[in-house]
Amino acid sequence: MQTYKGQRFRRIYGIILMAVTLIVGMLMIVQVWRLFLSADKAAYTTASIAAYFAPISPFVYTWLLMVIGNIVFAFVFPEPQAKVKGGVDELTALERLKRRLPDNGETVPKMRAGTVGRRWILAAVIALTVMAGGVCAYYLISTEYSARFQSEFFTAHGGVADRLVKILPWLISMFFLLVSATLFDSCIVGAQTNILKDAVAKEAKKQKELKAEGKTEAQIRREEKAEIAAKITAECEKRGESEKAEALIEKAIAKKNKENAAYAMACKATAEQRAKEKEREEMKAKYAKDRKVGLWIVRGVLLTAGIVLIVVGIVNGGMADVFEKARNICTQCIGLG
Amino acid sequence: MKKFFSKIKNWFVNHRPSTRRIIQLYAALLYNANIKGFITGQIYKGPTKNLCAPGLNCYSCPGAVMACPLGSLQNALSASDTKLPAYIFGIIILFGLTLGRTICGFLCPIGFGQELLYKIKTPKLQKSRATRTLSYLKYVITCILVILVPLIFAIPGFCEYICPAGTFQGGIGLLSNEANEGLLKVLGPLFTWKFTLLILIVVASIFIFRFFCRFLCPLGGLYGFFSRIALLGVKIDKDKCTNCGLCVSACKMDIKRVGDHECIQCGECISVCPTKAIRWKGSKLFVRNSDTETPAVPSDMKPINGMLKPTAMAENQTVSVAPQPVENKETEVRGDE
Repeated sequence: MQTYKGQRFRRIYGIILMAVTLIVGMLMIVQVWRLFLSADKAAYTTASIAAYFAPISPFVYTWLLMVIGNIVFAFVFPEPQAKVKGGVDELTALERLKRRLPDNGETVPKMRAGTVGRRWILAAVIALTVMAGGVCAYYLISTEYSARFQSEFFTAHGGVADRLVKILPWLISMFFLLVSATLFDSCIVGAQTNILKDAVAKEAKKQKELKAEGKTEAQIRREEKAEIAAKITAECEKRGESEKAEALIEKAIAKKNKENAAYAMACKATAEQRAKEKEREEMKAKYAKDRKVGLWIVRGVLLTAGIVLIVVGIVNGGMADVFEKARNICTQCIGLG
Repeated sequence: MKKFFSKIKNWFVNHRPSTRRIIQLYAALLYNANIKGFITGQIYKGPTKNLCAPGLNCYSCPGAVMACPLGSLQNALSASDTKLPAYIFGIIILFGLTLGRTICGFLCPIGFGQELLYKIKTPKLQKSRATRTLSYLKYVITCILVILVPLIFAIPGFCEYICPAGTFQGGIGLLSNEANEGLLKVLGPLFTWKFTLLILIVVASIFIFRFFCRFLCPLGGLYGFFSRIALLGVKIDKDKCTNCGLCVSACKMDIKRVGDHECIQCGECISVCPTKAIRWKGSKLFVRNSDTETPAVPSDMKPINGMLKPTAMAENQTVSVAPQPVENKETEVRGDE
């Protein structure tokens, strides 16, 4: 990664600014809820707002000063433009790798081992998130604070807000659940991709070296078998089990043949996939002109529909309703209900 | 001293606002051009409130001179048992068809505010599969709070429970004026909830690019449906595109490809593409030299092994260097896919 003068300082400053931002945000939220809960009615007055927000104003000013400081440091320690790296998204990369290197006896167990550990962590996070949702729900429904949400405003609207408030903790839990699940899934995909990438790189390097020596496929296979035979023979002799060597060699060669066949099938599947994609692209190019005409027809229809709807809206008083709503204060929008 | 002033001049030249930023600023000022409203604390009631602003801008803001499309849609749906909401449907169709999500990239004050907040230098959360999954949350919000709640309960669900524009522009904008002190006493749990949400969105926008736009904004979600048919926006020339993925990597939104429903059509990817495959729709008609066959090699770059690399002299300068296409590692390992 490119380094520049003052990079370390700016990084540390950025982390401190992040912490101050989070603290200021949290303080503002805490203070507004304390203000709201401080009185049964009419909690918000000029005096009470000043009383609750004045103590946190030094933090807010500090944050503002730090933001201005950031601008000054950008001038003193300018950061070079970051380089952009391209590439496909991680799922597509993983699928491509899987197609290119099937189970060779090593890779998949490694991937599975990496995955299992992470799934336990995921299960723990899910359980904690659901528990947190339950605690929030209990707090909002069963404690004395739930009385705050029984005001006239909520009951006047058929209990919509009341219902929404009750399901809110569960919605928030589901939200965090979704985020956790996707984040951990990304971790698992990332780990699998790295393992497969190493395997592909090793295999490709080996093939490149062999092809550079000008050997044919048959020669490469013969050499592989000879290598396996020599290795197993040496191991058996070391252990004093020379009589078992032949059977073990046969077994190992059968396994290697199976791997090579699976690999060849995977390459063939990739080639077929590529041929299908090429065919699809050629079809798309063939009908491109028709699609273009179709697009303009859709645009024409929508444009006509839009104009007709506006005219109908003006005639039936829809525009007047918009005007009437816009020229008066929208109490729902500003939080009055 | 001369060197210092030269450094200041270079800083301003390198940090001058882009055309898009200037358009965003003008749009924000235009939507809230009623300066008198900020002084008197009264909202504008003139004839321009018959029209809807394309972007999200609360019509209860003292400065707002146009209506909000989202608020108008919800109110029209609330009254849909008596009147067909033709006017607002027509407006949204026309905006979507002509501008699409270019509105998000150029004409939305809320998006503009978030981009400014994101410029504060702190550690940032990068996009991932988790953020891509979360980006579908806005469609859930659209279905439930923008369509179903107004239809069933006749209240503008999104405006009432979520919209930060209403809280900030309408709520704080109005209530900060002494003339509206009487409204303070009516504030209750709803305002407290919305204020909390506003703080969370503001803080999140500092660490996550366009947090509200990506995960919560229903208006962006609605305009996203028009991405492919909108008259204005970015498009990829498939003949020039090499699928290097630089555009997707450089983009901070959760796009899978340029111009999809998550793309805000900001055009930042146009300068990143090494083969100049991305351009504005209609640029062949309206932009001079938009369709160059081969991009000219700048004087501070030279082609090496099929890639443009900066010369030694260029690397010492502080001007930005065009990003270089990075080979996909898979391609390097195993030949083309």
